[in-house]
Amino acid sequence: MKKALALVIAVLMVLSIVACASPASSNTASNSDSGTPANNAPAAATSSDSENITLHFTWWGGDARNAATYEAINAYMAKHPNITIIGEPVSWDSYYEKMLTQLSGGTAADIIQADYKWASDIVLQGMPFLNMKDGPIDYSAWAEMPAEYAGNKDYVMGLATGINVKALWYNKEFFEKFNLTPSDDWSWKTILEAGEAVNKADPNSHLLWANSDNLNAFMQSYILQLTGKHMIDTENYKITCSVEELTEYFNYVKALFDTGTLPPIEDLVVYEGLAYASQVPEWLNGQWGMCMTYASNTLQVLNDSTFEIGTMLYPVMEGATDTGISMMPTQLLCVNKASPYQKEALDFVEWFLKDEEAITISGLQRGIPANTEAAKLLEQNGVTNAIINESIAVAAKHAGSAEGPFDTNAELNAAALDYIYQVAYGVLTPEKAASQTIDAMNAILATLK
Amino acid sequence: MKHKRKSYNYQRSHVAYVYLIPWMIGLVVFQLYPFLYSLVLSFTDKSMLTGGRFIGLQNYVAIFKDPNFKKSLVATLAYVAITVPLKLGFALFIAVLCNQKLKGIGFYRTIVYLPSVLGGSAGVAILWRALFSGRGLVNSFLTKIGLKSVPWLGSPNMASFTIALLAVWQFGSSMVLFLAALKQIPRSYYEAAKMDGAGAVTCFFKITLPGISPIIQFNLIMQTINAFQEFAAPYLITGGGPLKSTYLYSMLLYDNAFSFMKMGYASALSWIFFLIIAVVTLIIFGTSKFWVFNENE
Repeated sequence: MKKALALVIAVLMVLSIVACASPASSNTASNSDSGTPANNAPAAATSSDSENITLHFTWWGGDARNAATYEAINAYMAKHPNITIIGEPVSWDSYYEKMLTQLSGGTAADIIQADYKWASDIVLQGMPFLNMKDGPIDYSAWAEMPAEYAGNKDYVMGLATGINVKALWYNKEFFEKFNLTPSDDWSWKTILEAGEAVNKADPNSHLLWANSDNLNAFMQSYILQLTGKHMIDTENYKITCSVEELTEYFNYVKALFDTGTLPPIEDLVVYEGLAYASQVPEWLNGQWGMCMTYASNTLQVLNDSTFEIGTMLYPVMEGATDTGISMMPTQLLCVNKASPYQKEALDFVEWFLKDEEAITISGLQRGIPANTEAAKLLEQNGVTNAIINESIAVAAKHAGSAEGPFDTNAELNAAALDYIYQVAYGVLTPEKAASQTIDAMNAILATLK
Repeated sequence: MKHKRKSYNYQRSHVAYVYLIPWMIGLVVFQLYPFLYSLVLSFTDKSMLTGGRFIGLQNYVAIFKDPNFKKSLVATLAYVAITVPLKLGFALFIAVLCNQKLKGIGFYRTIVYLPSVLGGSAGVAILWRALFSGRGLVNSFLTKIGLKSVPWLGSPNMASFTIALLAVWQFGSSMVLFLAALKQIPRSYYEAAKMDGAGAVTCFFKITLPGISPIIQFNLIMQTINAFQEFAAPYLITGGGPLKSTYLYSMLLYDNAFSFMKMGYASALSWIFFLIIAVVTLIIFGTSKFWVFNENE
């Protein structure tokens, strides 16, 4: 009797392990690539109105965005009783890595919020999202944005939720305290001169805060404005600038630290992974007065900061032929190509980005909508933000070319950042760093061919 | 009668196998299969979502040309060299203290084990970053007592040490093993040594250390392997910086696999790492005959 009982328990244990190992999501069983339709054709309706369908929707964002997204999901489910949407808000930290792992393992959500910065990698990775090019959702009302931001001219990996631009933000009290005059004519040189003046007046104050993404973005913009060419030649997979030209940027980085425009590197690196200035105590207490950021971060930073914030044009070099400033998506809403419920997922995305109720609920949580009709509706309802509007208007006036597809490649940026930091710490001279950066980036580009 | 016994033994062994099945399934599915699959992947150009072409030894050749491989290996060896002796030394020190006959010693033992209960979590790693950041509690304390603040996480020379401190703080499991070993040493050895005029220091080096040397060996092997595999602390506290001083091998592996999506390359990295750890472990085993005292020999 005891043995029989033991056997039963053992079998139950085996079953429980097998059950644990089986996919958690109800839709993952059919997530294999073999069953997916061609890029442009979403799966035929796999359900009738009476069939219960569960969709998973994943995104990143703060509490306010989470609350608005859940409210929209609930509103949609109330209208479509047979559809259940499980919201999966995920922290921005390692979101990309988690998303790729889930796509690889066949456990990714049906609807996925993605960053435009991943577009070039997503194209190289076999385009796991449904192609939105030429339908299946009509996005003719969307604001004009370069195709590279969502894939390429033949592949649109997702629809833009909002419009984004790079801009400089400053603490108005800080500027008043140090007698700085904001304007849209600030060049890289102006930043350096102002930064030096600030630090001379108060050694504990620094004009600029920059995270690791910013330092890389500065490099891309600086080289583009200096040479008139993108730093990476995406046709020949080569770095376009010379050692002398890149040395000029590294000299600039060195000067940012030497003049105290940026805080000492030992203080700066502690916050290198943070996304918003308002996560930095020195920004909040008014010691560091300016940052480069994206308009999409506006609400978060405004909510957190206790002082007034102003916006200025992203720095442009005197005599630059290309500013490198352009409108880009805040995020992209994508549909997983492996989803068994592509039609239902597309229906939700269309409703989320076009329906009056959804637009009203979402407000500015994903920036000023890229759907111009949605943007008009919000404006009519008085849902606007002066800083976002001003950033976009100023950027539009000084528009240049779009970022290159490899400007945001993670491996290239990690390599460049390594040398930027070596200059900042004084380990390498700007000349040596420039030469080694070009070699390292060329070596990586050769593997991306 | 004999037949009955044989049948009984046969059934008994079968029942044992049934009990073992869940573990064996786990071993095959979650360990052996990924282990061997990663070996296959290491000879391919497998990316996260595409590829899988056989490329021979190209990944292994590329690794030895990768400057980050050398940097991360140096950072990892430095981390192991700081962490393991500090952790074992501290664990032994606390174990010796906890081996004293004191009132309420059980309470003290529980208290000193607490960091190990909390230690490995992401929350504690983030707390560590807050404690040791430029304006953190540690620097606030230093400036309050008139000392200069220290760039614990911002200086390439200090960051590895700061991260290592978190590992040292989790000394509890080693300490418990040391304590158990200390209790196994017969009191009569110490009494005899004292009668011969040996002092406390002589007793420690001539009786205590040889007496617990098998446990020192065990702890050394386990903690060395753990230190080689450390990931959470540098990932969460410093992100591998500054200047890659805390860019441990596990972070190099993670970046290549999940940030750069080079699964084949990352698999090759993991096999090289496996061999490095195996060699270090074998060296410890190999040298043990010179310093591990075995009563039965």
